[in-house]
Amino acid sequence: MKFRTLWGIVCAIWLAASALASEYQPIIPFLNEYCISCHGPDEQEGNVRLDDVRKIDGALWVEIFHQIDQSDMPPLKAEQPPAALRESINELIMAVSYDDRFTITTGYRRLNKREYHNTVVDLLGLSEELFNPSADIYPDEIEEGFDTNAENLEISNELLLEFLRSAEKSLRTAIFTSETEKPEVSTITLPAGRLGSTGQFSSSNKQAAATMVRDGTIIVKNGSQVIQQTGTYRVKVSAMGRNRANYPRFKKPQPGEPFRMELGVHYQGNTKFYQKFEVQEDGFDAYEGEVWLEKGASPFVSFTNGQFKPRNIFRKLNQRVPMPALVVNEMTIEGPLDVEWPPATYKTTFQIKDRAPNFASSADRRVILRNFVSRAYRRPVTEKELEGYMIYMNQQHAKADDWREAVIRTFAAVMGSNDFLYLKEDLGRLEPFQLASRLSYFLWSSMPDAELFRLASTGELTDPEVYREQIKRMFFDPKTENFITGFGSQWLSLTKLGEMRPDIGRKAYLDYYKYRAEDAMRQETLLYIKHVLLQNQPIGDFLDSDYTFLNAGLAKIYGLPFEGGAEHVLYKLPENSTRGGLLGHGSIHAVTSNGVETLPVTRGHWVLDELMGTPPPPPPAEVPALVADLTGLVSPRAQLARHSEDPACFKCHQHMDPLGLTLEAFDIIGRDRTSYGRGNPIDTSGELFGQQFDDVRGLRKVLKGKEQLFAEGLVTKIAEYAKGRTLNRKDLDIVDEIVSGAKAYDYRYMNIMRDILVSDLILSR
Amino acid sequence: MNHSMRHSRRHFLRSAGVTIGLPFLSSLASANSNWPKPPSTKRMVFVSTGLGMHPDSFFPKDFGLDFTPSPTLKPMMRHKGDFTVFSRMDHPQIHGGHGGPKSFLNGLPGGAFKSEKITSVDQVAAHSLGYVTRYPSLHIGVGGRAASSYSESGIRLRPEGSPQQLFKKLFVNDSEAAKKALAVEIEEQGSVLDLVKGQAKMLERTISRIDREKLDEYLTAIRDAEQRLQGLKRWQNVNKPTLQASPFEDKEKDDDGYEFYVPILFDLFHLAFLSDSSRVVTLNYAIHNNRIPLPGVTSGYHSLSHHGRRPDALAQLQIIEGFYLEQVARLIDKLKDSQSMGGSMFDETMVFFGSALSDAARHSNRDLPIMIAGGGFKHKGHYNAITSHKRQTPLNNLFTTMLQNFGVEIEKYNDATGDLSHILT
Repeated sequence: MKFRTLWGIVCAIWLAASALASEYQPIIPFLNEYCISCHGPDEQEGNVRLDDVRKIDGALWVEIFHQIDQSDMPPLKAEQPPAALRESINELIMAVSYDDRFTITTGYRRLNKREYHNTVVDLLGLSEELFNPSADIYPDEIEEGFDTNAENLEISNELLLEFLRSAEKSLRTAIFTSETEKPEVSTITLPAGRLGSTGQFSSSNKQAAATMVRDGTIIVKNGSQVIQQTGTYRVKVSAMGRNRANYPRFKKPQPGEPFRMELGVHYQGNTKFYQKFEVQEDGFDAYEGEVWLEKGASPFVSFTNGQFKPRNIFRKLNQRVPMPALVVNEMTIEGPLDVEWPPATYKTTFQIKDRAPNFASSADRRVILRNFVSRAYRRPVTEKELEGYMIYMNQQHAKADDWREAVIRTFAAVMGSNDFLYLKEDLGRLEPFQLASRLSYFLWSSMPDAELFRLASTGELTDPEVYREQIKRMFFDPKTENFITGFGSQWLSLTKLGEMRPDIGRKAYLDYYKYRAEDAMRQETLLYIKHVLLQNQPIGDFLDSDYTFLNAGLAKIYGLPFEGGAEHVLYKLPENSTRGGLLGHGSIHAVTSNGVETLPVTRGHWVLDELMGTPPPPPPAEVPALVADLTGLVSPRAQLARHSEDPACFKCHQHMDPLGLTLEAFDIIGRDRTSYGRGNPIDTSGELFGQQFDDVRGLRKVLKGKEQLFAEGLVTKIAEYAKGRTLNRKDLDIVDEIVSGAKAYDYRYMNIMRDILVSDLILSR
Repeated sequence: MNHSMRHSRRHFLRSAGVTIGLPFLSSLASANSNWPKPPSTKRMVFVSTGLGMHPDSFFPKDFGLDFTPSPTLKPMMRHKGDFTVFSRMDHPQIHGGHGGPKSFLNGLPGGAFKSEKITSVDQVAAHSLGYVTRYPSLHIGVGGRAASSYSESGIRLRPEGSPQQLFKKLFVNDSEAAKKALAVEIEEQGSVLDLVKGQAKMLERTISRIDREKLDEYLTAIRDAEQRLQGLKRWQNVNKPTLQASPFEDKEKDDDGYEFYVPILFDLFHLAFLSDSSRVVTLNYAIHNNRIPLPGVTSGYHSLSHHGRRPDALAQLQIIEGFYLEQVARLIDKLKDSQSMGGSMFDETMVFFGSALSDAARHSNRDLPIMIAGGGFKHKGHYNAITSHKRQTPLNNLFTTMLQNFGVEIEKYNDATGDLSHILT
């Protein structure tokens, strides 16, 4: 034990000494002398700690430089370093802040859950119709920043075992699911006796399976045994409606309304709906739809406008008067239709065209394994690595006496390796394969496709012409949706939407549930981001614009005239609207509330930090937050006025509070309001960057004038998302360059993206 | 238990009110002759609430063994003399408002010092024993799966979400087929881990300084996974203790009602101790804004915690917080009634209760509501833990004493400035 402790000390000293290159060594005694009494093991003023230089990242070196440069630190009351020393040390600090070796935080990172999901789908050619390859993977816990940030992406034994188990499940869904011949189309006829109904007030018998209550369904008995071959199937249901007129008081379907039936599929505990039908009442008719069925999946129909669960008094009644019912007397399942052979999953996983591999042949095994491992590793596999897997596959064959089993176990092992689960990039310019992964995980949140792999292996990808063409191609691929949602929803904290819902018991906020506001708001913001990107609009549209995306429910909440339905459409806002730009989005108002009250300080902070990328420092540790007074006697403005009494609070709150108070014009679910009720009007006037405004319309104009500042914040965040780490000084210089060039083209989003992609932000680690 | 009794019990469960049927579960178990008495050993329970305890109703106004009961502490008063409530105790490094719960069981702020050892107090204890019991520790989240437990390798643990899962874990044996499948899986995963470990080690030699920490994390996950598989292997052929009835057989019950399922959770903890299936358990009441299903509570939990001094909100909070303590008091009843080979299980079990917030409306992490019962400690009623420098005593001082009492050799746990042995022993 003694020995170990001693060894620990020796190691620590040795590491500290090697933590900075020799030319920077003088920095360490300087920090020790002037800084660590407040920023060290005992105290961590402002959450900053400088006693271990290994833990100082790029951003912090830049901050230290500025603090020393502007003589903000050490504080006046503390001992000051001589001017010459201050200068010479700061030169070194500047040099460190440009040195990748000491300022780049790790970018070696595991795939996050989204990326893992997409990668498995692409690696194995899986259909996402029913199967979810990441169903058993625990969600990533993101403390701060993006789910691409290496620091956020930890791995635990539980997670590793989940990866192993999921890989095996995905492989068993993808390959060896059928015999080696192309399957014939066949028709399975299921008479009423093979059908059953579920739901509390359903009944079934040999002549007809009936379902009555709203959540009732008619299923295939032992359904998971019916489909042996994955593919598209045509399902025909012979059905009719019955007893419409019965059950007078709560009767459903309503008069004039048809019986509605929906065809769906059950698979591994999940449900997916495919097609809706209106069912006739006089005699059985056939209703037909196409569905995707994995092996083991099973089709069903449900009665979607059936009677709700009857109240107790009607349960007795029900025994005498039959309730409205949907009756099915036969179901046929025909398929698989237009079957691809070998299946897409085989072709993708094994990278074959027509012939299924013969695993008894060692040559075939080697080819298949090489194809699979290089795609899984997203780089060419070395002979040594390949040999390891060949041996493993043989061992597994010896155990199971079945090549198919050996292949699955070996492939599962490949998918548990760090080379599959982690993205690795080397310092400096990225070599073609690493660049291909950087591009595809940035824009698609998935592995490179065949074309990127091809261009990486020939080296053409690093040719500027070819590279530009690829960027263009990738942008207009539907997979770019993964960037829009992945980046957009984290950038604006939409991932937090719904964490603190309004109390469903409070009538005041019933609209939130009635209009499905959460989904509608999220959609609005994501569609907006997509529009600005793909239409190459100026990013200033995020700050102020005359349009948004609405559906009927959201328009109700916003109190805007609207003629459409549940689908969101581009909506031109009326003149002088409170909406326009992100500040008018209900999603933003909801995530800056806590389900109970609006949070003016959080809203102000949101504008400065998330929107403008200029976060104020965290509050001093010892100061507890103000208690909101909900009795309605003191207005939030008056409550926040207390921040101005203490200079320590006022320094930052003078910027945050007015913004938040202006946004008090929106309640916790994003509705406009002009008073807090009881005749307490809301004063929405404020000031930012020295400009005064009366309300959110004025605030938007002020923000729009700060497009450059906004662009800096946005480009920085996009780069962080792409690189999986925080930026260092060198990166920030590139950001500045991109932003100053962007003015010439009005900060158009697509152009900005293009400039990011051709810069060293993407081309280098 | 003979058949007719079982029948009548079921019948009773179905006809009786929700709260009455449940104590049967443990009387059933203690009557079960095939359960040997558990060994004489220390155990730990950590109960935490996500949204504080309203300080005015929780903290008694005076100190000492004979303190005047506060409204929230009323249910605990039947155990007078067997517990200590601390005033002026908290984690000095934590100022995160709602971030606090994550750090509740280790007292370390997140973010800045991530690479430091952040193992939570419960896991220090659990790890010191390993797989001596089938489960080194058990974790439950009520109303959400938030956790403040961090494993030896610094990874946040995931609590179970439902009493059914916990019940199955403790008392339902896998089928023979499932056992066989598990054995195959354990072996297969073991050999996969071997293989990937070998490959990762190849990379270890060439990886850069800045990436090494991440690779180490992966290698640690492999090592931990191997240990976990070893642990599973050790217990896979040992039958679980069984109960003759499940508390879930009554389908008509409102499973979400707190009065139904929270007592079951505590009963299951008690049974886990009785059967020596685990010695360390945690239960956290999560932060959310749903209505907590208790009679008299009509608003969302988070809404209530932002009481804004409204009397109605405070009254409802009182119901919820009183319920929390009633459950702890009930567990203590059971522990007092149970004997290990060494004597009273209550004296061997440290029951910790607290929250990472004091008044949730202020998002304050100062002066936390903290209580400990049992464990063979000398209890002090209501104790003022203010230090001679007029500061709060670090909660980690209490955790240090709990770990020492558990048998872990430790002088100071994390940022502890000492221990509380001078007060509690």
